[in-house]
Amino acid sequence: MNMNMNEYLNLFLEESREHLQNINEGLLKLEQNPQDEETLNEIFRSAHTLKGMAATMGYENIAELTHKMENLLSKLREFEVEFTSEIGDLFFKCVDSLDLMVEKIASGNNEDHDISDLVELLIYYEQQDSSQRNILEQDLEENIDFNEFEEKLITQGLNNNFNFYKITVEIAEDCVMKGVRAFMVFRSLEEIGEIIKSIPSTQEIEDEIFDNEFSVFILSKNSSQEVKELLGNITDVTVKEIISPSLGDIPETNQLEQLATKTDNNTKNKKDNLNHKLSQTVRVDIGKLDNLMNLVGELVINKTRLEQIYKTNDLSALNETVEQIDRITSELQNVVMNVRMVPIDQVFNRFPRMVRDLAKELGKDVNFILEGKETELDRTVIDEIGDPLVHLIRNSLDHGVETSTERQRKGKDPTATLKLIARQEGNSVVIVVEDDGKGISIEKVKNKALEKGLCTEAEIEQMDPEGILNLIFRAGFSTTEEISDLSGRGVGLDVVKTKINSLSGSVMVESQEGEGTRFTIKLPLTLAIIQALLVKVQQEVYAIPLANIDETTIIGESNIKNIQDQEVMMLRGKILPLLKLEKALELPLSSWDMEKEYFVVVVRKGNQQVGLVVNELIGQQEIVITSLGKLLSGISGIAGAAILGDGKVALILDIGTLF
Amino acid sequence: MQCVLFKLGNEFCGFDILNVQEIVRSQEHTKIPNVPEFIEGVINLRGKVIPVLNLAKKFRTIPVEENESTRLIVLNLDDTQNQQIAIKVAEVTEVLTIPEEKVDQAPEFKGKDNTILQGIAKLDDKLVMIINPAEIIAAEELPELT
Repeated sequence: MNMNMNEYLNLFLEESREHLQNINEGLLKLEQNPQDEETLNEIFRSAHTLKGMAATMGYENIAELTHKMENLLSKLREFEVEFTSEIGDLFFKCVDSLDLMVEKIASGNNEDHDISDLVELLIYYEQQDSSQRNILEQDLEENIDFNEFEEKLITQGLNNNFNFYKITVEIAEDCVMKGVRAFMVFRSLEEIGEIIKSIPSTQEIEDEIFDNEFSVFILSKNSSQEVKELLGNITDVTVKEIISPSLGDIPETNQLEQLATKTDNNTKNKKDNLNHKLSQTVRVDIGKLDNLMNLVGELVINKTRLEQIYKTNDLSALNETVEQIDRITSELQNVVMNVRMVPIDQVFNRFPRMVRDLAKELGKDVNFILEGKETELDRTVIDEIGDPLVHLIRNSLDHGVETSTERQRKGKDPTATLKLIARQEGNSVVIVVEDDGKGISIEKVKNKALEKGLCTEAEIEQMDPEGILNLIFRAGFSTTEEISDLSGRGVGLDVVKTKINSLSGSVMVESQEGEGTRFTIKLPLTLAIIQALLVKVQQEVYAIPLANIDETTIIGESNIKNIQDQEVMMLRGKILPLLKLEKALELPLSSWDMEKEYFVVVVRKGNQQVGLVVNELIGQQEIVITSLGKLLSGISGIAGAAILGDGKVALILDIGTLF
Repeated sequence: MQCVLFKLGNEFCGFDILNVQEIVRSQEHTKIPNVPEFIEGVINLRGKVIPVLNLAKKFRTIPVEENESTRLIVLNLDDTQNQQIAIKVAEVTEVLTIPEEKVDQAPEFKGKDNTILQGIAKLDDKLVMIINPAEIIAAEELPELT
C-alpha cells in the first residue's frame, strides 16, 4: 500500500468508526420510536457514506453489507417494510460485523469476514413485501404530491403563461459524480425557470441517494425543445422525457401536511448534518497537542527569564513588550489547556448499546438515561474512565436491577431506571451511576465481610452504615452468591476504586435497601493543571495539592506535646499528629527550636488528618504536573514535578503515599 | 564510531555520540527523597524534567567537584525521546572518531557480566571506557525503581 493510501486509510478508519457509532445510536433511537423518520434518514446516510468509502478503499465486504443494509433501510423509509425488533436485531448484528471488519482492517488483518448469512437475512426482509412494493412504486409514479405552497406556485405560474414541465433526467450508468451532474442540471434549470419540486428530494439528490434517474418539476417560459437542448449540453446527462402534467394529479390536502413536515424534516436534517460535520472536522493527534503544550511551557519559562532580565537591568523600554508577551503566553497556555478538554460523550456513547444488550441478555427491562454528555474532561482522564464505568454499569444491571416480574411484585414500575449523569462541580467533574433496583443490603455486606475475614466483628460494631457500605470497595469482596459472566468474575469494586484513585479521584456509594444504589465518582477537571500550595522545607520547594489540604495554621514550640514518641498538637480541641516534612522526605533532620514558630499544613488522607510541619509557606499557585520520567516513577511520597515560574523544579507531594 | 569523551575521576570514559542529545552546563537541581545516592536530583531542561545521575558516585571513584568545567551530558535512552537522563561529569574533553578495530570487548571481572561497559577503546595515549547508557539505570541498584 503506498503512502497516499495509508493516509486515506486512517481517515477511512476514523470516519467508519464514527458512522458505525451513528448507526448504532440511530438504531437505539429507532427501537424506542420506530416511526422516527429523521433517525431513519440519519442511519441511511451513515450507511450510504460508509458504503461509498468502503467501495473506494476496495473493502468489498463492507461495501456489500452496507449496500444491502441500505436497501432494507430504504424499504423502511418508504414504509414498505415495518421496523420490527427482528429487523433491529439484524441491523445490530450487521453493525457488529462491520465494526469487526473495520477493526480487522485497523489491525492490518486482511482476512475475510463471512457476511453471507447477514446478507441473506437482509435480502429476505427486504423482499418480504416486494409484491406490495411494486404497486406502491407505481402509485408513486402516478401521484405526485405537491404541498399547498407548491400548488399555489404552479397555479400562479400557469396563469402567467409559464409552461409547467415534468422533466425526467437520466444520468449515465458509469458516471462517477452523479451528485455533481445532478447539481449541474439544477443550475441550468434554475436559469430558465423556477424549480417547484424534484423526485427524489433535492437533499437526497445532493447526497446521491437516487438511482440513475430523477424528475424535476419546473415552471418555465421556454419551450420543451429549448429545455431539452439546454440539458443535453451537460455531459453524462440525457433527457428521458419532458411532459406537461395537468394539475389533476395533485392530491388532496390531507397528504399535504404530511409532506410539509417531511420537507421540514429534510431541511432540519440538513442543518443537523451540517452542525455534526463542523464539530468533527478538526482532528488532531493527541501527541501533537502534547508537543504544543511543551512548547508553550518553554515559552512561559523564557518569558519569566525575560522578565528577570528586564527587572535586573532596569530596562524600562522593555516594560510594555514584556507585559504583552506575558498576556499572550498566558492566553496561549489557557487555549492549549482547553483544547485538551474533550466532552465525556466519547465515553458515554457506547453505553446505550451496552445497556440494551445486557438488559436483553438478562431479561430485564431497563430505561437508560444519559445526562450531561457535553461535560468536558481532560483527554487523559477520558481515556481511563471508561473501564470503571463499564464495571459500575454492569454491576447495577446484574446485581442492582430486578427483573420486571420481581419489580411488579414489589409494587415498583416494571421498567427499571438506570441513570448515568455527568456534571461539573467547581474544579471537579462528578459522574453518577444510579439505579432504582434492590439496593445493597447492609446485613449481607456485614456477613460477607466477616466471612471473608476483611474485618473483625468488633470493628464492624464500631462502623456506621456508611462505613459498612464502603466495605464493598475492599479487595476480595463480591456479594452475589452465583457467579455470572457479567460482573462476578472475582474482580470487584476494588478495581474501580483503585483506578479512580489513580486518576486522583474518589468514589462513594449510597444505597437504600429496596430503593436503589448510587455510585458517585468525583474526578479532577484535568490531571495536567492543579492548584497547589508551595511550601519550603530547608532549601527545597515542594508543592502540596490543594485538594489534600484542609487548612494551614501556626504553632509555637510550647503547643507541641509528645505522646508515645509522636509529636501532636491540639487543634480546636482535637489531637492532631504532627509530621516534620523533612522527616517524611528523609532530609537531614533539624531539631525543634523553642523560640520559633512553625507552619503546619493540615492534610487529609481518607479519614486521617496529619499536620505537616514546614519551614515556610510560599503561596498558592496553579502548577502544571510533569512526569518525573520512567526512571523515577513510583517513588513513594512524590506524585511528579512542577516547573515553577523561575525555571526551577519543585516536587509535588503525593499525600496518599507520603506517610 | 564517534565518541563523546569525558573525565570521570582520573579515567576517561565515552558515550557513543548517537546516544547523546546535548551537553549543557551544570545547573542547580532539585533533590529527590528516597532514591539511591547517585541520583542527584532533577533539572528542568526546557520544560522537561530530567533526572541527573552522578556516575562518579555510582562507580565510586573520585567525586565530581562542581566548577566551571562541570557538564551535564543529556542522553537519549530510546528512540522516542521519552526517556532522557543527564549524566554529571567533571569535564567533557573532546569528540573523537575511534575506528572499530581499536575497540575491544570489555573484560569479564570475577565472572560478572560487565554489561555497563560497551567496550574499551585503546588509544595511543590512554584507554577509554565506552559506557552503554541503557545499562546505567538497568543496573542492580534500581530494581525498585525500574
